[in-house]
Amino acid sequence: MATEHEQTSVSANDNIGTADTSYRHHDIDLDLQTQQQNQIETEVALTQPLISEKIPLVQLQNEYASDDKIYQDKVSELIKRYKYIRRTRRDGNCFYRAFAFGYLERNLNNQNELERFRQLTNDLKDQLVKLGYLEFTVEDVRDIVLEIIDNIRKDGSETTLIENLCSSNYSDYVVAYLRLFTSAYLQINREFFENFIEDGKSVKLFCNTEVEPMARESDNIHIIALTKAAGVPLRVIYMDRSEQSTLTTHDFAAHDDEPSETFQPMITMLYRPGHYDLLYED
Amino acid sequence: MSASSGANKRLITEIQKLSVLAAPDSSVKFLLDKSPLDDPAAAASRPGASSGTSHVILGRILPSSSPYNQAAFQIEIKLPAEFPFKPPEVAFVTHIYHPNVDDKGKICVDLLNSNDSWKPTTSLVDVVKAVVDLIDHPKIDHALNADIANEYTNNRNEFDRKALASVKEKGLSRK
Repeated sequence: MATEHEQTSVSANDNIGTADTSYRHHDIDLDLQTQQQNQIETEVALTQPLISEKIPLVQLQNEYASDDKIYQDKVSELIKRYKYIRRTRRDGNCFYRAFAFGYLERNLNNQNELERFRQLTNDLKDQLVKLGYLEFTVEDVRDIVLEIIDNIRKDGSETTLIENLCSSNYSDYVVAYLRLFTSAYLQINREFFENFIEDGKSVKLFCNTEVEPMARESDNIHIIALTKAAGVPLRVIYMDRSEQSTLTTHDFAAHDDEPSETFQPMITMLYRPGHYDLLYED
Repeated sequence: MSASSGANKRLITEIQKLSVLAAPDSSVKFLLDKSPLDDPAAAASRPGASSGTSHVILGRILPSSSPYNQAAFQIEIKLPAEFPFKPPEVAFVTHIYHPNVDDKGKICVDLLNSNDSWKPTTSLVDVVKAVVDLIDHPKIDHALNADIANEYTNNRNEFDRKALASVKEKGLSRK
């Protein structure tokens, strides 16, 4: 990150003695940081599957202290509406991975919907090339995603879905491509989204630093863009420490003119600060 | 396995595009010395978390700025097992006297910073271009070698002398 450079960079005016030390610190800092990060990633990978099996939602109660009234109340309310949860790995990609899994799981046997999504997946490449992206690297990612969609269309089984989305090489391709979906939509609609980006960053810069690189976390802006780009209605239930005992529901419509009264989500997620999981009514 | 042919296809195309940089009219000059495609058996095993293989590419950059434009400098591009989701690691094999390269050949290029800039759609040609750009336009504020950075700013004649001497001594052929 640029801040690392700013903290430890060498100024030409430093006298050689101190400059040497700060150069070594810079070197060590960067190495250490990478090492630490790799360590954390390995630990996370060992203890957290990319996507878990369906877990009874009542187990969520054990995640919070029994005397934590705010959270226990919220969990109780959640249990009234939903029965199961699938946990996703905490690796900064959880929103996209949950989206991919939830969407494909819901449409395992819906050939029309899968065909529609396959078409969008295919066409995105040309959109990106028009935006100035390199064709062969985008195709590299797209082709694996097409393969996954085709595998699922062939046998519509949950086993195939899990094989494809829970093994990291295949799964990461889908995450990378959903990030591209999001990025393209933001860029094509840049006049609208410019207003919602902090620090006056351009949409292009935002996409380069906050959307496309792996492990960058997702905010509302990412969710809006992806649900619209993919044409998939999504419901997110927010659970946090705020005092109100009711859960906040946020519906993301697939199309602009959808009336809210008739909203039916294709995917439902639970959002707790920094993390998204999948929710199921049955 | 099909995903492996997908990854192989990427590797093959990446190397093809790197080879094209040898052309006389190429905007960035790079001479490919060694790639995984040289050994078909090794190339067949794709970089991937499951195989744990990393692929190595060796090639010479031909900078345009003085004094580096008098020689070529070999760099090693290592593709980690998680490529393209993790960036390649780039290091100088040939010694180069430059503020942004340390004595182990390590270089710091923003594009390769996995925290900020690396994207799965970035190509190896982009990487090589970024390295050559850094050599041709030193970034003193982000120097990896403090002594050389100091010298570059405060005693440019001495820097020029030493850099030229190093290029003549250590630099490789540009053919």
